[in-house]
Formats: sequence, C-alpha cells, structure tokens
Amino acid sequence: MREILGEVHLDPEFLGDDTEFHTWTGYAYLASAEGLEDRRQFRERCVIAATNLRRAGAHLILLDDFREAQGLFKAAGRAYMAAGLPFSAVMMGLAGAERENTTLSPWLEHLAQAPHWFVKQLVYSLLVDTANQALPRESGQFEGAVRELRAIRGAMVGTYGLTVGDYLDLAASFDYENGSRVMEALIPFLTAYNNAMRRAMADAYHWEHLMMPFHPAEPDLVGPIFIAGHAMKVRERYLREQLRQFPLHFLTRGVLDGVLEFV
Amino acid sequence: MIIQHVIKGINGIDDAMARHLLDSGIKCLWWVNNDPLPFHEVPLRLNERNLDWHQNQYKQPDPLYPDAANPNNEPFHLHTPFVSATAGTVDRDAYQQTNTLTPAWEVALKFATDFWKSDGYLFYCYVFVIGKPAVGQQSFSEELRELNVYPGYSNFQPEGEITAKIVIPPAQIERAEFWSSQDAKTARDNKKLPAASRTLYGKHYVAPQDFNNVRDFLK
Repeated sequence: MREILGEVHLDPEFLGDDTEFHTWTGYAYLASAEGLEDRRQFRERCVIAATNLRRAGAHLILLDDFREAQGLFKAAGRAYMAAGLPFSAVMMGLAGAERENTTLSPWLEHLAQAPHWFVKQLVYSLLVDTANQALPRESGQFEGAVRELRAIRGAMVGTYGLTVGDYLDLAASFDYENGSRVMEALIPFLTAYNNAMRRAMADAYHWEHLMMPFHPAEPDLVGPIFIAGHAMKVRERYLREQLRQFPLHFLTRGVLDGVLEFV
Repeated sequence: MIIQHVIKGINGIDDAMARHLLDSGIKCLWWVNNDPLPFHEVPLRLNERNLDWHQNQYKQPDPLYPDAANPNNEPFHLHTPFVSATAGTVDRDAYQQTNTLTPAWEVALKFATDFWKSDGYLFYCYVFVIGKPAVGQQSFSEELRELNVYPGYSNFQPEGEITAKIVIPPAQIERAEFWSSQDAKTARDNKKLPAASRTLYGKHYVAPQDFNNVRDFLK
C-alpha cells in the first residue's frame, strides 16, 4: 500500500504527522468530555474525539499499519457509543473487536420513540451482528427493528448515495453459502467507493492533504466491505480473491487488499 | 441573516504582516495580485462558475484567464475573488446524521502550519450568511459546508468551508493568534489540546453583539 502512495500524490511523512495530530487530539477531546454534565457538550466532544480517531485510523490503513488502526477504530467506536450513535458498529466491525457480542441490543429499547436518523443508523449494527452471527436474544425487538428498516429501504444513509436497502441486502446475502450473493450485494458499495475515490483525486489541491470529508480509506465504505469479508470467511469464502475479478481503481484495490488480509 | 464566526488560517507571514491584515482586512488573491482592484469587475467575477472553481479546481489552470504572461492559462487561485475560511462542521447536519464533527481550529491550523511544516496564524473573524446561495451578493458569505444549501458540494469540500467575497474587512476580524508547530508538538506530548503562543488584537474590530438584534434591558 505504502509503495503506491507516491503514484497518487500522497506523502507518507504528512500522513504520519497528521496521524499523530489526530490521535492525540482525539484522546484529548475524549479526556475533556469526562465529567461533563451538559449532554450536548458531552456528545459533541465524544463525536469530535471519534472523528479524529477514525481519521487517524484511516491514515494508518494507508501506511500499512492496520493492527494499530484497529485500536484507534475501537476507541472511536466507544466514543460514538458514548455519544449515542449506532454508527459505532462500523468502527467495532473494523476493529474486529468483541465479535461474540451483539451491537444492536443496546439500542433496541430506544426504538419506539427513536427519530428517523437513529433508526437508519441501526443498519450498521444489523450488518455487523449478522456478519458475526451475534444477533440479539430479544427476538421480538429485533424483528421490530428489521421491520422499521425495511419500511425505509429507499432512505439514504451517509453521503455516498447508499440506501438502507443496500445495507439490508448485504446483510441478507451473508445467509447464503454461495459467495456470489455477497459480491452482488457489494456492488453498490464498491461502485460508490471507486467513484468517490476517482472524484476526490480529481481535486488535486485538496487531495494532497486530504482536506475533504472523504478519505481514501473511508471507514464508511471500507467498513461494510471489511465486515462482508469477515462474514464470508466464517463460511470459508474469501472476498479478497473474489474482488480480483471486479474492476477497481488501483488505489481502491490496494486499500481493500490491505484490510481484507486481516479478516 | 446569521452572524457566523469563522477562522482563517494563514501560513508564511510574520507579526508585521499579521498586524497589517488586522488593520486593512484579509483580501482575496485577485485583489492582492491586482492592486488597486478594478471594482467594476466585481459583479462579473462573483458567479457560480468561479465559486465552483474556487472549491474544486483551486490550483488548476483557468482557460478563461489566458494572457500574454500566462499562455498556459493562469491558475485559478491567483485570481480568485473568494476568501476561504472555516467554521468547522459541528452543526453541518441539522438532522444529526453526520458522524463526523470537526472543530474549526483543526482545519484552520492545518492550513496555517502548511500541514505541519511551519508556524502560522489563525485569524478569528465573523461573516454574514443567510442560509441560501447568494453568490452575486458581495455582502454575504457562502455556506459551502451546509448540505442543505449546497448539496452538490457535500462529499469533497474542505471541511467546514465558509467562503467570503473580495475581503474580510477589519471590523470583522477580532484577533490573530500565532501558533508555532513546536507548541502543537509539546501539547501532544503532554496529552493536552494545543494553545496559541501569543495573540494580536484588531484595532478596528466591531463586536457583533454591538449591533445584533438582541436588545438588552436597562441596568
């Protein structure tokens, strides 16, 4: 991975400095959130901490240090969870942490009065739990969550043009022994990732210093693909091999090859 | 109308230049490179095309500006009529779907230190925004960070972008903070958020609470 950074005008030295900055800034914000009684302030500091830690983790993927990145994703996941965001599941999925535990259960009791954005974010937990075969025991509540999500299949999740339905289809594909179902369900994610990469690189000025919300190892997109890789491995199928047949930009492929080595 | 606080990071200047900017305003590069500014051209330059180039093609050769000195087309940033600043992305998404919150100082500090290479200054300013696009209206800044105003920019804009036009006047610049890259590293070692080494204050700053529409009671 590191050896192709020069080809795409990314400087490893800058990435190293920036990783350090985001790591300590993330931990400093986490420390500053401790003991805050104002719920809004507490939540904001947790999400700022998580943003910094996930960015540092994404940088480390580019620097070929996925093991270290996983520690930062785990810390980011905990910060998101403290902030009350089910998005934490993607970070936990990337961290490969606590696979035996459900990520969906903690949120189910809030479902009845939950706002739209909260329900949408449950797709991340559903995806991780299905991949880990760790679905919550409260099956009634779980079915309720799935029904809610099915009812809003067309709703957009995140900023990459993906819908709730894309995540549901991916989670459903894990139940099939044939890996081709997973590949088919991954097409929207791979396409979104590849397109985002190409568009981001076209803006050379902002790209060189990654001054854009999109990251070349974007956890929003790399996360579900990594989680799918894990689900396939459980069934003795290997996503990394199957991806070789899928046309991708060399940087997109480099990032995915790098992380899928660790499923 | 909303009074929006923003931060502008500037690299490669010293205290004297920082003081000059506090006194005379932070000008767009079109003005810096063409002083005196041909004001009659301002309405022609403040358009959506140039705003898009400012955001997405900042250092690309601009085919609309070839001249004898730049036969290969002048890079856009040398004649941009806009001034970038950041407000962070803390409240970018009113519906709380955003999982990334980036404070303004982080973004501005990266530009101010030329991405951790040297010292720089953060200018604390305010601008006027109106919650909708108004590219041709010089008085108002554009909220490119705001998904509801500029959905097309959402994925690849610099984080928290608020774009001022022609100049941020001295009345709207409160202070300039000097940040040394060494201070940032020391803070990191002490596991603390960094702080500025010293601060210069604007002599012409007019605090927005002096003219906003909250009328205080007689005390």
